[in-house]
Amino acid sequence: MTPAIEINGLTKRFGQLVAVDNLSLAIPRGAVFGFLGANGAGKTTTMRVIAGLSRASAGSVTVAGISASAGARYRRQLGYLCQEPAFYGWMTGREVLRYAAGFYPEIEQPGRRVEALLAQVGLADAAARKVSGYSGGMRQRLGIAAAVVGQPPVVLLDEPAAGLDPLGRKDVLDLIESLRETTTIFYSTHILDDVQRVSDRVAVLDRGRLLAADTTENLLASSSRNRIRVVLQGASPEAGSLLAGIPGVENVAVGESRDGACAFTLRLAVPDAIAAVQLAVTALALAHGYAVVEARPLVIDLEEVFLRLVREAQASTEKVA
Amino acid sequence: MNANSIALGGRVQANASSPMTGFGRFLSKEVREWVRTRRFVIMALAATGLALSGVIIERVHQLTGDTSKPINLDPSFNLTNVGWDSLVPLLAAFGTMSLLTAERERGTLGWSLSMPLSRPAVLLAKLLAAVSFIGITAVVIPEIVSVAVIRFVYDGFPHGQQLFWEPLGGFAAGAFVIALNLAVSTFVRSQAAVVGTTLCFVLTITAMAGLLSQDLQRFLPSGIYDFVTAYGKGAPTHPETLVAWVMGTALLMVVAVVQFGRREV
Repeated sequence: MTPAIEINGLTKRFGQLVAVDNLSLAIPRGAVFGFLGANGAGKTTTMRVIAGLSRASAGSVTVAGISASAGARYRRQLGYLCQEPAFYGWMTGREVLRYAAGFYPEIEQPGRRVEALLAQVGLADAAARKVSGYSGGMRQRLGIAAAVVGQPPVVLLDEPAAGLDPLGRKDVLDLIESLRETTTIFYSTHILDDVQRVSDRVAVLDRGRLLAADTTENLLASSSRNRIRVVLQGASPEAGSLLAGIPGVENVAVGESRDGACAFTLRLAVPDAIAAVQLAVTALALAHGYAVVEARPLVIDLEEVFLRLVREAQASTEKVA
Repeated sequence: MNANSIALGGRVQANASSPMTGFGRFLSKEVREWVRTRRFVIMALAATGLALSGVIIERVHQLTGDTSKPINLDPSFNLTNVGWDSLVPLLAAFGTMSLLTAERERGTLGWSLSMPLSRPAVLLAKLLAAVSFIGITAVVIPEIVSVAVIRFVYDGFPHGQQLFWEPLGGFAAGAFVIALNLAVSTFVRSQAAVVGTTLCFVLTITAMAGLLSQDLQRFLPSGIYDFVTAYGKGAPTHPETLVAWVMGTALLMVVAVVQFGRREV
């Protein structure tokens, strides 16, 4: 099946600056795809190229199999919410959606659709007010409604929850959830909690380069399945060298020492060795008079995965330099 | 957000697109924007004020006893005093300097273009709406008010030639300036740069015209006002000027479309 979005070798330069560097991604249909990166990583630039607002220096983008060069036919496949949604301030919320709906003549009963969307995003009561008086959260919700008014198969949301209070963020994430079954959602953010909550796939971008792209589950598992966190009561940091001697342990990172207990993170050569290593740790502790407080596979969140990927990329860049 | 969830997304549309996709929708937005943002009223007031200052000047000279030059109280002459050839282009230059730049700065251009709307459609809709509204605000309304004032101040009506052809000549010159403004807007980003470049361009053409022989002047689109007024009087005209005006306006729009198509929004 053709991916919802296919990006091949996308590069975007602004003079000497390479904002996006040879990015290739395939976003399957129906995915809620989180696009992660720090500020300036190239997320917005990528989004703008996909939205057809910016031209790629090299590479290609297709949405639902249609090339970006197809112009309006291509943009009919997309709904786009930019980072700072801008609307005609003299229009009311209802007029904004009616204006957007007017570009999709195939919508049946556009008036009803507009009213339903206004209710869905919680703006029914404010629909007759000029958007120049809307708060940031209201504009964001109106922007999402405008992005989906044409029922496009793909929706691009650039930082949809940025600048919103917790309630507003929850509303936006709920809306993304409600789109999940019918629409492919490609959204950028640096709020990692949000990604972990709603995304089933994730890509991490750093300084224009793709560091990782996988399902959220795989990305978390790949970073944690070969690690064990061990806390030994009565042990000193030097016990790390003993742990490193356990067969199957690749290396040991010494963590915090507190109240006579010391923490270690063991990286295993193979993920299957977890049970054997746990047993060996218990045996080692008994032999040296330590009490095992904890010896379990490391559970990490997306934030740690993100930080590790970015740090590794930066370290490798520095090494090359 | 409430719980009455509806089907929000999800169907593939495969409609063909044309270079004018979204034109009607965008034109209707442009028209409403002219009216709703009070640009219409401001332009009409400015144009009418400037026109009336030309219309009543002879009566003011008469009332103040200014005898430095002969006073002409002929209604037709005083409608000509409006100076349509400079009033309309000047108002067109200032009234349309923000057509593209303001939308780009606000981000609404990017938003509109992220929908099925072609770039040529944006330019053509803006041109048509601007030409229509400049025509209404800088020609039709000032003319109606001026004629009413002339009737009251000079006790008569202007002749048909002054009533129709002079404003039409000014309108044609204004349309050229609007096309020029749009073309310039696709190259520069600030409103000041747009109006500055346009006025420089117009002044350069006017200055050049003064240096050229009569034979060459007829090939300048800036001669459209003289062409239209001469045509109205039944005086000899050079069709080359009309062709130059049509071709010049069309060329400006082609340049605008090509450049706008290449630029980042």
